[in-house]
This record gives sequence, structure tokens and C-alpha cells, in this order.
Amino acid sequence: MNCREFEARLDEFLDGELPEEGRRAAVEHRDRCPACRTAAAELSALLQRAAELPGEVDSGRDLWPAVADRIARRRGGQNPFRSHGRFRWRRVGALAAAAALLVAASSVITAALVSRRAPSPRTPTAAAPATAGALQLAQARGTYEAARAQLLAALAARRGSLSPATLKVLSNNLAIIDAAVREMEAALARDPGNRELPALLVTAYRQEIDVLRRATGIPARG
Amino acid sequence: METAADLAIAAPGPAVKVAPAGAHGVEFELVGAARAGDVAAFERLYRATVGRVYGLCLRMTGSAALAEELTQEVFVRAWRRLATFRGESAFSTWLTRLAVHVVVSDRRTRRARDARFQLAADLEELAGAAPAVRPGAALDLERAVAALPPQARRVFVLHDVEGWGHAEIAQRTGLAVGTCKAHLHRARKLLREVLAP
Repeated sequence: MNCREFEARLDEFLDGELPEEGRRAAVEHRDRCPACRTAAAELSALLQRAAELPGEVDSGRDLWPAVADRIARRRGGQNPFRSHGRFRWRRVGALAAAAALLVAASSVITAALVSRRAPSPRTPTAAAPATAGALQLAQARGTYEAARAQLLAALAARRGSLSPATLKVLSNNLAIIDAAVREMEAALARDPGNRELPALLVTAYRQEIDVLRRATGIPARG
Repeated sequence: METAADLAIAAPGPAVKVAPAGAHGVEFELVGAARAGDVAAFERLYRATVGRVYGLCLRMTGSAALAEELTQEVFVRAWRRLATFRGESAFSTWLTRLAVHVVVSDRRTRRARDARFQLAADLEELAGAAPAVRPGAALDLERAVAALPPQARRVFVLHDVEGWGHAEIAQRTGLAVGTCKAHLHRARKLLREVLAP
């Protein structure tokens, strides 16, 4: 077995999936090749670390209230998309798609990276009945606006370190995200009693902040 | 909307009449109570397993916000499907499989829904490029895994973090075994590059 063959079969070797003859050949090569021995040790250490990652992770938020609410609504036989206003069923798919745009990514967009005016607060929605979802939305909005402004400022400081191609992608995608949130806010303004839209918007805000946070980690152009 | 794949999570079988002993037995009784509509019992099951479910969703998606959303979805679906839990494995194991299904299904749904937008493809390309552009960076393992390309990340998490075999990963994700192995190889290679001292 040569080094190329060893590298090609390293996964199977460490996973114990090689037939006996192949395993012996791999062991012999590893024992006499320092470079391959190091590669095997590095991968073995990586796999050990992966296996030792904590099985449980704390999200930092209690998700039970939202779960309980959905269970209760389902038990009550309520259609979660039924509303008291003019909100149409056929709009649900479009709005869900709009919200999905905010979670499609693991990268970033920011208004400060394109030639735009400083970000302004979102258009306030119409006063809504004091549903639990509306109250949660009101609380989330303040936190969201502050966090968003801070992150946009941080990203603006990095503008010069990102490639033109990256900036173009970010610019295009920012427009899509902004449109998605505006569409949801407009729908809520037309139908302030809708129980589903506040939760959808809070999720959208949270996702945008998550994306912006990850955006600050985009590597600088080399 | 449930599909045939949804129902394949656990084919209905005969109900287990005798509760297993020990912690598994307590869990089994809670499941029984929850099946009968006891939400408090289901909450106890939730408290005991949410960290595991959230951790899996987080590592498979790389997004805290999406992981929260999907975690909620996992437990809502679990509530609906309690009748399919037969007690042959631990509740957390059954829940883990359901979580993987929810994550994989969500990805397919979002990809189909967003096909007309350049967003997902562009941003995944950026995310995929991240590890290779930062050789030698002192990323810790969790951050490095989160930065992996999506498919590679999912297979790595299931195989090397959760300990699943290739056959089961292939079955749950809809990928061929060979494709799973290729994604795993890619994930390990990228991680070795970015985590190298």
C-alpha cells in the first residue's frame, strides 16, 4: 500500500470497515510512514473529539411554551391559519416562503455593505389585539432593532475586507430578506388579529439576527 | 402535510403491554400518560430530552434560530405520533430519529420552495468556502462543524457525533451509502484542514 492508497482508505481504516487483508496492509503502511501515521493520528483525534461532544445543548430559551401552545391549538381543533380578518389562506404559502428565505442561509447580508441610507426602523405594524403572540412580537421588536443596528455597524466596518463577488451576493440577498420581512409586517398590519403572523415575524427577526451574527465571521478575501 | 415517509419513522406495531424496568420504565409510563392526553406528562418527557434534540438540530443545521424552530416541530410531531412509540428503544432514541427526519424533510421543503431564488445557492457556496479560506484558523470543533457544507455537516454529525452507521444514515437522509461516505470524507477532510495546528 502506498501513501495515496492509505489516504483513500483512511476513513474505512479508522472506522473498522476494511477487510482483514486491507486492514493489515494499512497497519503496515502506517507503521513505516511518518506522514501517514501523523494523518491517521490527526483524524483519530478529530473523531475522538467529535464523539465526546456533549450530547445535550442548551438553547438558552425555554421552548416549551411555544410547543404547548401548538399542542393546545391542535387539540382544540383550531386551524392555526384561520384568522378573523381578510388574510387569505393562499397567502400563507408565500409568507412561509418569505420566512424560509431568512433561514436558508448560513451567511450574511447587511444594508451597510451596499450603498444605502442608514437602516431605519421597520414600519410599525397597526395596533393589534393583545394576543400573546402580539405581546411577544412587541417585546422582540425592540431587542431586534437594537441588535440589528449593532451588527450592521460591525459589518459596515468590514466592507473593505470582503470581495466584490461576496458584496454582490450580500447586496442581492439583503433585498430579498428585507422584502420578506416587509411583506409579513404588511400582512400583519392588514390582519392584526392573526395569531400565526406574530410568531412568524418573531422567528424571522431571530433568524435575521442569527444570519447577521454569522456574517461577521465571513472570511476576508485572501 | 404528512407523507408516506413521515409514517415510515416508526411503523405501527402491537402496543407494548409491560413497562420496562428502571428509568426506561418511568419514561414508558410518562409516554402512556401523554398518549392519554396528559400534557404535564409530555412536558416531563420534553424537559428530559429537549437538550438532546436541540443539540442534534443545531449541529445538523448550523443555525441556532432554525434549530429552535425545528426542535419545536419535533416535539409537536412527537405528541401527534406517540401512538407509534412501541417502547422497544429509549424514548430519546425514538425522538432522535424523528428529529433527523424533521431536519432532512425541512431541508427538502425549503430547497424546493426557494428554488427560484439565488439566495440559498449563493449563501451555501459562501458557507462552503469558509473552512478552506481560513487554513490554520483556531476554530473550535463546534464552529468548524457549523461551517461545513450542509450535506457534509449532516452526515458528519450523524456518523461521527451521533454514532450512526452508513446504512441508517442513508435510509434516513435518502442518500445512497456511497454518497454518504463521500460526504463524510469531505467533512473530515475540511475539518482536518481548518483545525490543523
